[in-house]
Amino acid sequence: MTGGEIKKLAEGRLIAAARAGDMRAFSELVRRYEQTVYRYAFKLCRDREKAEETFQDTFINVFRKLGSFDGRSRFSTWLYAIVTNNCLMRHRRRKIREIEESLEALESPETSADGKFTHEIARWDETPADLVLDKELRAEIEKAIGKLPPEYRIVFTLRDMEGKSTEETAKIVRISKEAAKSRLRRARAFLRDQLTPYMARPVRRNGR
Amino acid sequence: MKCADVYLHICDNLDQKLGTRRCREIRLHLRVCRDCRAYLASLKRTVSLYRSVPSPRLPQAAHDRMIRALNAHGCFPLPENRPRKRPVRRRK
Repeated sequence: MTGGEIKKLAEGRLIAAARAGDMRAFSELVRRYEQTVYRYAFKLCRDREKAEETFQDTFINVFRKLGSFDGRSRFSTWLYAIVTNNCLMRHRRRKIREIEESLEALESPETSADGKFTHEIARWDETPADLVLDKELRAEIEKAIGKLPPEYRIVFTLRDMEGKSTEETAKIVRISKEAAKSRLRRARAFLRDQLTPYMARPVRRNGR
Repeated sequence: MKCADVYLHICDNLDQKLGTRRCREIRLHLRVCRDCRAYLASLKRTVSLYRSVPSPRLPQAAHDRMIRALNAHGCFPLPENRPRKRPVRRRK
């Protein structure tokens, strides 16, 4: 097969060729997925150096384990699972207990006997929709997602940034669909709460 | 449906208009509850803000280092995957 033919190969045939030891096919797999892997790793790590290490480890793992990929899941699901796992391995030693406890509280906000919220819901709807993502807001966003424990950041990134379904997210992270939903709910609520002091303040138009 | 139930289930329906009974109940509740509407609007805004943060492209140097690492693990270096040499700049 020529290089041009390999570039046109459908994914299934490309993977089969790479598994059979065709290095050109493996090279093409790397080419097709390297941007996706790097960007996803960056979204999880929030750091270029860690993202690069995760990216590198991921393709070494793919090279070593491609023979064990059985095709029962989509290749991208398998790949995302490897990146996720590499990211988690890097974070495992970090102490995340304190933040996790504060996320537990987000599962059950205080409500009165009639089921209504007892605390006031901050209004964001007065914030202009064309609010520019200026330096200050971007720093707030980075700070908030940096505080989110990796287990939650992974689910939020997969569902809300990578556009994966609940089912695929659960497969990638190897958790139940209910656990994926619960982590997403807590992650969104946590990020919203973190941004509320910034977003619920008097209107700022075009970052001014 | 109460605010607490909406809080628990709203996430599943953030971007979808599903016809399930629960979704219909959530929509009915949202019509009459200002707090839940505000909460949903702010959650949607949170997600759109995070989506709008750009993520960097893979730097060429990082690609080159990954290829070198693969080669070190026995992946045969292919011509198109060999790290590119930086062009030598001549002194004027």
